Amino acid sequence: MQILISNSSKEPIYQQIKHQVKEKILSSELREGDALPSMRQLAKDLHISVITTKRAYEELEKEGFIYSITGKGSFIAEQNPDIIKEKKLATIEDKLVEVIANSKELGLSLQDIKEWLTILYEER
Amino acid sequence: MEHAIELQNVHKSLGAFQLKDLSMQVKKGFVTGFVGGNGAGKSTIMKMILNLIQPDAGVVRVFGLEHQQNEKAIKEKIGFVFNDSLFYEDLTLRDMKNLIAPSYQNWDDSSFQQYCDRFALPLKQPIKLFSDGMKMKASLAIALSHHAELIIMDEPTTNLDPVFRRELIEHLHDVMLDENKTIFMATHIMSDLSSLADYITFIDKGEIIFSKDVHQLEEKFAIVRGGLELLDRDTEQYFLSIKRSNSGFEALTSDYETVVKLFGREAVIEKANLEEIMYYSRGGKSSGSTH
Amino acid sequence: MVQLIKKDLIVHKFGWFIYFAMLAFYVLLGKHDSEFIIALLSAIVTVYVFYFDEHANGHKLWNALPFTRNELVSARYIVLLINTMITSGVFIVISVIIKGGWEQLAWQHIVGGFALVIICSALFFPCLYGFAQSNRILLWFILYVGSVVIGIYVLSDIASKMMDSTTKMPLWSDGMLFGLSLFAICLYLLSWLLSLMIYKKKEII
Repeated sequence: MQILISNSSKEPIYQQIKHQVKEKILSSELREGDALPSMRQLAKDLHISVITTKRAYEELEKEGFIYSITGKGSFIAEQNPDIIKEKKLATIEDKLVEVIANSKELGLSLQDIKEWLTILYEER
Repeated sequence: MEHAIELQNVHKSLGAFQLKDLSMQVKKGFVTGFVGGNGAGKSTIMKMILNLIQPDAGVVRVFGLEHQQNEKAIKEKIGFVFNDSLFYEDLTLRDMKNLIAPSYQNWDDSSFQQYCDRFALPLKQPIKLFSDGMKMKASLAIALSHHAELIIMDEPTTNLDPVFRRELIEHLHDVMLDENKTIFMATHIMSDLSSLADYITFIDKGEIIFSKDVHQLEEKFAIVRGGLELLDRDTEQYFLSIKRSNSGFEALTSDYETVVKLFGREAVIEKANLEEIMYYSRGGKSSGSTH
Repeated sequence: MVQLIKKDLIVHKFGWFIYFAMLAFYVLLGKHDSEFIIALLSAIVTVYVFYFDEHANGHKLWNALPFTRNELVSARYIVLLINTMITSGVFIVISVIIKGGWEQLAWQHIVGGFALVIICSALFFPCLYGFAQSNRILLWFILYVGSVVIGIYVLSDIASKMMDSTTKMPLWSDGMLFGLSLFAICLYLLSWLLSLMIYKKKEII
């Protein structure tokens, strides 16, 4: 499992780990039952403190992305397809909200955004 | 048992230096960085953990045990590295190892050999020919070769160059792969801690100023800079220390969110790194210093 | 604790050969009494292990290892006895080889040497523990070895005064020697207790 962290990013390191694991789950790179590296191994590999990976894993567990078995490690939890879809929709919504906010700042109208979006959508 | 080390209401006078009613804990299974300036009391506490110095009053517990009844059991569980070499300089590392090894019930010679290989330590050379870095590595090899559960290090990197320091941190990361290990490391070199420490305990003039995990430090502490007109009795209470000058003030807060709400854009608010936290924590609220 | 005793004996490494060579040299020289040789060499060997610990960070090292202070002090008191036994033993062997027989050996002298080194050590060990890790320790080393040398001269002075001028035989009885030994042993035990007390409170810096 590849995780890249940036020390100069404003986002705290445990958040960076969380996000990357989530992304990998949503993109199906990580599937149900896949083992995650142990908290301590990951801390060593990334040159970060154990408490940081611990926090990332604990929060991932709380949000239902992974589960842990004492003595065995952490694994990707079963992901309900509906929930995955919902989560993906939620990320899209977040990004759209951001787009709207930025557009308003520049004074773009809804019509402008729609047109732009249509062009981009058809290009892909 | 959650704590590897526990000091309760410890008092100690050593000449002009005093520890007054000091209490602190070191969490088991994690790395705790012990920071503070020279003469803050770090070494005294380190020595109390090994019973080299005894408190005038109060209790020192290591893994729940006290030296009075369990001195040997406690020391069996501790691997120590001091910044000064404890070796007989005329002996070779092998001779020295042969003197020390039988002292520990759980001495693991193959582990010692492995560390010597890894650290490229010559066994047959008199220790006086070792560099400071090699001596530190030799101490570490011994500290790690008797299945110690607690590694205490008193300024291990002071005499080392940056490359050596990084190597040391790398090895300590390896040690922490085992969740039964605890590292308690006194240092005043902050870069040693940024990638390794889980908790930071800060001591100044024999007093524990704070003891927090690194996330709390990152999230809560900030440096605030602004005009003097922003300071009054109400706002000052959010600061641990304030430094005033003609051009404004600089202050340290441990309540980032409230301060952001309070001052908004009227002040510059930046997350504080460890060094800044230490520097400003020592300042107090006096207006003495100018820049 | 056995490890501590062993360590005090093996830190000398090849030093032992030098001590034995010195021993042989004195025996060959034939100028000195046996108690002088035994007491002086035992004191030198013992002061060297103290010096070794002072010179390196010995106090810090051995106290940080799984030993109690009582063990550290007691080991040293036992080591002195062993050192003296070794020097006496080697002295006897060398004398027998060089002089070709037991006849010349006066066991009273050997016991006298033993008693002397024990008395001097009893007086100085508590000081060595009290002043450990301070820069005045060297002075105490010198005083310790010096006291052994002076003790010898005092002892031989007393002995010569108690020598019968016509028969050239010592006048002191076995009873007096026994008394001296008993005194030495009592003093040594008291000193042992005192050192335990002193070292227990010592701050190892």
